Amino acid sequence: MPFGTTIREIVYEIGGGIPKGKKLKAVHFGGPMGGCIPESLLDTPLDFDKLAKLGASIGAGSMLVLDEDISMVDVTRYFLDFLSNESCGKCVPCREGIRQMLRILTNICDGKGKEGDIELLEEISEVTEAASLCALGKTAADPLRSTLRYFRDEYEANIEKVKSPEEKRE
Amino acid sequence: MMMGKQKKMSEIIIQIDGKKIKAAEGMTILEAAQKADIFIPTLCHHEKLQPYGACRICTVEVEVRGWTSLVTACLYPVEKDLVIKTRSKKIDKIRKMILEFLLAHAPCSLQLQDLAQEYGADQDRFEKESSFCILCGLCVRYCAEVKKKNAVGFVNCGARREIRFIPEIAAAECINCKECFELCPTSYLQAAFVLTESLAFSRDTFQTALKK
Repeated sequence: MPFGTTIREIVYEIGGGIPKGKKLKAVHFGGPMGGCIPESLLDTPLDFDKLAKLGASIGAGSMLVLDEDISMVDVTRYFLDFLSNESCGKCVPCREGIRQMLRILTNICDGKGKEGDIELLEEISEVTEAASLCALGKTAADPLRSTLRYFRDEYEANIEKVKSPEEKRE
Repeated sequence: MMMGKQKKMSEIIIQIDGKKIKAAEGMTILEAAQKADIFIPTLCHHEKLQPYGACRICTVEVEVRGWTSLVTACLYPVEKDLVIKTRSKKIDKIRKMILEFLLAHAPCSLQLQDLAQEYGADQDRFEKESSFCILCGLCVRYCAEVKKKNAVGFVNCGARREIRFIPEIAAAECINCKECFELCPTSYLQAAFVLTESLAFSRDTFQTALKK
């Protein structure tokens, strides 16, 4: 793939677009330690620096195209679940940070999200990034940071959905 | 004359928390700080063992040629004119969260509780998962490096990592040693040993070990 080709061209012209006419939601780059861009940034050219600026480093070059049915919170949970087995477990920020982030994300996905969860996720991700021993821990929270950057409303909606029935009762 | 062999480790001046301190080249930040009576918290460090850098609680800020970065004091070697900060908002935040992570596993560890008070860590911040082991590796490394027996080791990776006694080695070596017990910050190690002892040691093992 020549650099400079837009992501839109890759997905729609070369890849043939999304099956069954569904809408595209995001394109995720670089595997479980990478990041994603939303549909609105699809005209970004394939370029190391430009994508890195958007929080989606190309990494090994993999591209994961996600359609409108996918929950971005669930995708993030999936990546962290994968990383919790990939971590060697030697240093505390990586081993425990991933464990706690995964727990919070699983709760949100299971409809047990709480107010303050997003802020806690952000705080944990800062610590794992700053204090981990190796690059796995330092970048483990990258998909989380990038989905929070572009799809924060999805996290909020998931938590809000949980909150509303109780509030109605009150 | 072999100059190289006779040359003493050269003395350098570094700065820790604004104080000028003499240190020898090749020392780690932690060693230099301890020599100058400056406290940096540690959990996985032991002077008889190789630096490990796993708990990350000794994280400090260093400034080299105008660039600040976070490094672990137990691993980072000092160099001429190095500027070190042992406390800052960033450092305290990291230490607080590391303690909160570990207190979810070992809420009763006195060592953790003392540090938690210093850094304002909330032991109930994360849901309890009382594995009682904080995986500092002191027992594993002591057995490997000092005793050279490897009777206790790490198994599994990531969130499933834990320590285990290897029954065959432990049965032969541990009953008359147990030197690692006092190193454990949570006393989980003793529980792990007793469990191995009751499940995997045969009666003969005890008798031969006690006769030694």
